[in-house]
Amino acid sequence: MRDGRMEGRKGGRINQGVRRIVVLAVLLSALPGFRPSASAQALRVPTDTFTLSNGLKVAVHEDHSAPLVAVNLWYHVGSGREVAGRSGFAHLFEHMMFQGSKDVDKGGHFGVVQEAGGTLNGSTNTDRTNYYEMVPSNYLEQVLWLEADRMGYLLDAFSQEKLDNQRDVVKNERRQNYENAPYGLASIRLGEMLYPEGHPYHAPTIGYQADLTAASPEDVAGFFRQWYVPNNASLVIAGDVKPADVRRLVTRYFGDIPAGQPAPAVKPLPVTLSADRRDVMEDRVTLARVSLVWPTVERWNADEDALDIFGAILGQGRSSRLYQRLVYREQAAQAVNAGQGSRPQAGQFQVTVTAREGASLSQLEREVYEEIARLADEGPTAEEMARARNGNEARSVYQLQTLLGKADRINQYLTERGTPDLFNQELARYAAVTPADVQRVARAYIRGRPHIILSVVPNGHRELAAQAPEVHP
Amino acid sequence: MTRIALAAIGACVLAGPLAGQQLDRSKRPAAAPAPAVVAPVIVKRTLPNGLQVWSVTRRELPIVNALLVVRAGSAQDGSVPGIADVTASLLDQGAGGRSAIEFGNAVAFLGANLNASAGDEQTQVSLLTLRKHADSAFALMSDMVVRPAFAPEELERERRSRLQALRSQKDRPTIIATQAFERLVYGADHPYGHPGNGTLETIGKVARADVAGFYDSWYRPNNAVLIVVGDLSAAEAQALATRAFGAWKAKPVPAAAAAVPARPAPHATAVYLVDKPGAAQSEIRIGHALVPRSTSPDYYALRVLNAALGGAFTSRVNLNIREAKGYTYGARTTMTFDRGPGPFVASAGVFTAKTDSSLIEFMKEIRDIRGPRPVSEAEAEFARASLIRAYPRALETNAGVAATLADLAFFRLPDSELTGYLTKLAQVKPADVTRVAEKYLSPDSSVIVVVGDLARIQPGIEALHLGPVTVLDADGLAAR
Repeated sequence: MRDGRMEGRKGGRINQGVRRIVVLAVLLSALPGFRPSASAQALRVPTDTFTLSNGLKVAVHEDHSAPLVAVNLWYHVGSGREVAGRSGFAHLFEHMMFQGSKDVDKGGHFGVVQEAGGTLNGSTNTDRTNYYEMVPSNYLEQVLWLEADRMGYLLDAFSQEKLDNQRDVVKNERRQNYENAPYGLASIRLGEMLYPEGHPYHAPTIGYQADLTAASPEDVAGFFRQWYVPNNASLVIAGDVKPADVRRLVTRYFGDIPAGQPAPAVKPLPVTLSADRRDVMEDRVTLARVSLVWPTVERWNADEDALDIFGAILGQGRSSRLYQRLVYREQAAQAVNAGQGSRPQAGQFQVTVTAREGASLSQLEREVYEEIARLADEGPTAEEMARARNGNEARSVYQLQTLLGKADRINQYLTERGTPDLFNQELARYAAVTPADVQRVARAYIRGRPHIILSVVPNGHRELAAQAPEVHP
Repeated sequence: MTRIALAAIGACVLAGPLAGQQLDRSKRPAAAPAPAVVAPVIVKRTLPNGLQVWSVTRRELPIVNALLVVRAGSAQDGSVPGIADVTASLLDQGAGGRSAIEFGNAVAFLGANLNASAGDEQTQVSLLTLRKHADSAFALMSDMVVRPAFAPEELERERRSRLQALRSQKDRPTIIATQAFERLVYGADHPYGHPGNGTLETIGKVARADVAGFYDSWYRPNNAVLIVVGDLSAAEAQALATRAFGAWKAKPVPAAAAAVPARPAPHATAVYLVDKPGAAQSEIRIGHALVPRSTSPDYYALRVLNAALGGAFTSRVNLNIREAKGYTYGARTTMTFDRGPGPFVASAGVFTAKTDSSLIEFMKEIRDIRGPRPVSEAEAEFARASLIRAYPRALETNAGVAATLADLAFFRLPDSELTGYLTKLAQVKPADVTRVAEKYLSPDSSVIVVVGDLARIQPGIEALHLGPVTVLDADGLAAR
């Protein structure tokens, strides 16, 4: 929920661009009074991995700094694998996983974890569905029992009534986070515009109301049998545990769940645009906003980090060029943001500018192009590169503060690359990006390249939309 | 050879129970023995200027967190609603000889997170940095707190930005509902009754003298606590704190600081509506003022009550309105404990067509837990357990430890409260919960705010006869 005081959020939003890691070396002098430290920050996240005979991949990270354990289970199915007419189903199905299974009552999943003082949730994006709990470490076995029961025996406790109830809940989630939220529907429209129909990222993970209405009990059973099998899942346990104990317990609870059909491999499906596409939406908003989106590269592509740095320098935070020009100096914009979002099958680069009242969206759009051109042509300064690297180095350490954060990242590495510890490799990769790389990717993917332009304007004021600029000689 | 043999034996031992013993999934496995609860060890010092410095050493990661708590927030706004918030925002817009842009660049260069924000009764400045940059990061934090420029052109920039933010916040039904609720419960003149980010009128005419005056009155070392948590010794923390804040000048703060905000006079339950034509959902707020944190011996029973009623996914209101009825994505109750009587509020965004039905269920739950359907022993046990066992989770990160300590410092509680509150929670009985529910929940003197599509929801709400119905203007400020 929005205030974070309550648990139970079932995210439908895309988890983009949260994958920065790094290293290294700001040349500040050694600090007086402190023991010396290496300039490069090695990230230590040791893991043991094993695979059960049914194909379930498991990684264990031992960390005894607090008497807690995080359990993080990924199923390798997201909204990208939905069939036509059933948008939103992967996420609706995620809700069904909290409705009880053969040996767990409706509400029992939340009940067991909250009685243990724990926290739990699940989230769905285009590419995967995750489930996680964090509890005092003496409750590990109860959590594994819960997860195994719904992996093996969800359908034993299924009912039409539960489906109808959670369908209503998810429809309300869509109303709350998209329909009743300013600019909420624009993110959906951008996906529809950038990715053609039939592409895994075309439809929103939250789904369309009519498709949610159409979801049937047969859909639930079919989806479960096809995707929720141990050989299409990976499990990470992080915290105050001994790997041998974890191996024994995981084998005990998950070992006899039968394997299913192997899921087809996921391959990158990049998209291209042959020309700009422009659209306008009206919404209950006071400030007009324009979003520019370019198709770029998927997760793990060699150009990903250079695009990340381009985005950081262009439009992230008060140090960025767009902030300093549009928000600070000209005071024509209320907010700006820019960044690369990488997903396993495709990536996109997005710039969003929210205009002040009276400022022209067309003018702001033109100024964004000017700043893109300047950064692409002249390249970033040494100071800008250092800020981007230092910020990334710091975030790579900060992300290790929570067991849930570590477990989810380990599971991402395990899922996307088949190995649990790429923390330092990602760090090194980011640190190796040069100013010339940043210029190169800006020219290859952004500067002068076809893209989406979506204006969101106050109801009844389509004249405020960003207009196509006149052709320059 | 020996090692291989041992490994083989180990494998046999592990495989044994699996082969021979049928797993009975119908029984929830027992929990292993609980790990010991370890409270953080706090080292406390006071600088000559009166600044209290508390530190905790945690070596897991090479990072340092610092949290400075200044005892002044929007409750101290006085005649300029929003001034505490504006002052906090301006701290890093130019300080210590750096311009706003230079300051932002310097923080970004360290990869540090350094932020200031004003709450109801306190302003917090928080820092997260890599240990190797701690000296530089503390120097920036010091500039912000001790040497802010408050340059007129930065105030003007901040003012214009805030006016746009205030004008656009009416796009968000959640904000309209919450601000209207607080104003109606407390009255606009009460310290808790005005919006912390001010109003178009007050922000429109805020002057540098207002900012400088607020800062001069309240930002004093003798009115603050600095909490440092992370990869450094107590001596290192003290040295950093002394370098950063030793030169900060003390001055007595206004005597009014000691006064606890009064409990507003209760009124019979009344309904206030704000129209949002076409809204897909209605935002509901129901509640009233509660009791101060520090003066109420019933604090622990109230915590258990809220956990049972609406503080968690498994609480009554959410299980009813979301999990049984499907009217919402989430329904909850919150109790805010402050120096004065913070609010109790039940809230949800609900499907437009189920607005009146949701109001019925909320009111039923609030009434039922006061007597007709009191908290059972099992519910009380569940709520107690969930609160007590959450303790290690609250202390997982440096920031979590700092926030816990800040609470202790702000309410001037003894260190023993760190674990003592677990004992006190454990002693709460179902009868205590029912008693405090009956005593403190006031369904007959509540404010009910609904922001939604009135053409579709107003007739249904009026038919419930919850109290007199008033339609407010689009900002939720005045009767329409």
